[in-house]
Parts: sequence; structure tokens; C-alpha cells
Amino acid sequence: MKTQLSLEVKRKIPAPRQAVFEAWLDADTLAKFMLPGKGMTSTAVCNPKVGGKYEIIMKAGDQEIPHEGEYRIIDRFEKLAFTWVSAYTQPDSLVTLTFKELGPEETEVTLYHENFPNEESRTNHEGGWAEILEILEEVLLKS
Amino acid sequence: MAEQEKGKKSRPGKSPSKGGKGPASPFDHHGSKQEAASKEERLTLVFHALGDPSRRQIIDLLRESPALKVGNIAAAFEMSLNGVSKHIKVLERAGLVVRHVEGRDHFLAVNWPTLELVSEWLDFYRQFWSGRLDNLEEVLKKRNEE
Repeated sequence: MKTQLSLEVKRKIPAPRQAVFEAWLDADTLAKFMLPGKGMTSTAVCNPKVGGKYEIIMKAGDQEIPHEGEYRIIDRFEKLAFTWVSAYTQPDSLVTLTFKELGPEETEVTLYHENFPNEESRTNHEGGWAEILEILEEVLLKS
Repeated sequence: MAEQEKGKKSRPGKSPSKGGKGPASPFDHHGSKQEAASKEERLTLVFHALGDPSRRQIIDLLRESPALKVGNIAAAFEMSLNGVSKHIKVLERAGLVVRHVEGRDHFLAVNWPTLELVSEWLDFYRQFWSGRLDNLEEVLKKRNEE
């Protein structure tokens, strides 16, 4: 009974799979949807290939919050993965997106965000989330 | 209409060490930037600590009881006392467990507030990505209509 706590977000988007996939690899589109909030803006640059980097700068008032990462998997049009670098923590986290075609104009996107505590777990793809989530389930049940 | 502050130049958001890289911290609403930074640093230790399967097992065991003696933990895993002690040190440093000494016995217990920190991180990012996907839907819808 751990699924409620997984850092997994699903959405059904009324657009063709290719469009939804490519949105994550196009600087102009990224700038449009990677917004910190209403009335704010972002700029983006990206090099859409494996090992290529992206950078998104979110602007809130006169503060700029730069953000960057590297593309790890580009599997058209099914799977996309990129690192998400945090300012403070050493280990990068990894965002994985899968795209499922539900119809010519409907795509289900699943976003999975996981943290890699060390290089080993990153290589073995052992995020350890399942166990962490069990623990957290208990925390939430207690509160 | 209220006048926007268009005169101000944007400057990079300050960050503690790495030259201004990274998203808004999940802990930004917790008062000072220093507080947020220190929570993030703690989280690094926590993720590292929980990255090891043996340590996850120790946490699992501990959360079933109010407190356990180090010796009992070692026995439960057929691990050497030395081995367990090393793992426990990592867990302690991450603030995941607390030690209580009574005479010659050392008792360990899970430190729930630290696990709640992980929960906060998850909540932040769940909301963050949810919002972004909502935006993406809007953008693609608009594009379709043009």
C-alpha cells in the first residue's frame, strides 16, 4: 500500500504523443510551461541529445532562479529522462517521463522523479524508493 | 493598473555555494535561506543514508519498536556489531535515528521528523511537476487551436 506516496505524476494531455514528447526538448516550449507561477516568465536553452544539457531560468519578480540538467535518455516518442540538478544537494535527481498514446490526440504522460543518493544506486537504478515510501506511508498514517 | 517594476534589472538568485544553480528550494518557505540550505544539506545525508539496503532494513526494524538495543539490531540481521555500528553512525549523522544511553546499553529509535523532511520534499516536487504538466497541457491546447 505504498503507491499514494510515490513521486509520480500522471496526466492525460489532449495532444498527439509526438507533440507532448517534443515539448520537453524544445527551448521555446520549455520556457512556456516551465513557469514558476502565474505572471512569471522563464527562458530556456537546450541541446536535445543524449548528454546534451538544458537550462531553464525561471524569473519571479527580479529574482532569477536558474535550473539545469542533462538529457540521459531520449527514446522517441516513448521515454525521456534528464537529470535535475539541485543547488544545495550533491546528488542529482533524475526525472523520467514516459508517453503513452491513448489516441491520435490524447497522450498519457507519467513523470517520475527520483533521487540518487550515490553513484552506485544511480548505476544500478536502485532508487530505494519502494522502501522509503513504505516508511513514509507510516509517517503519514501516524500524523 | 498598478505600475510594474520594470526598471529593476534581474540578477541571479543567490545560492549558498554552487554559483546560483538550482530550482527554488522545497524548503524556501521555512524562514531564512540558511534554514532552507541546511534542510537541503540534511536531505543529502538522508538520501545517502537511505540509499543503502542494509540501512533501510535497520530503519524498517526500528520503526516497529519504540527503541532497540544495538546488540539486538545486530542479532536481527546476523551482522557483526562492527558492521551494524558503521551503518548506525551513518543513520545518526543523517538524523534518521537517535541514540539513548542507559548505563551500558545503547538504545536506538527512529527520528520521525527527519523522515517528514523527505515527505516535504516529495510534496513540493509532486506539486511542482503537477503544475508544470498543467501548464504544458494549456500550451499544447492553445497551439492546437491556432
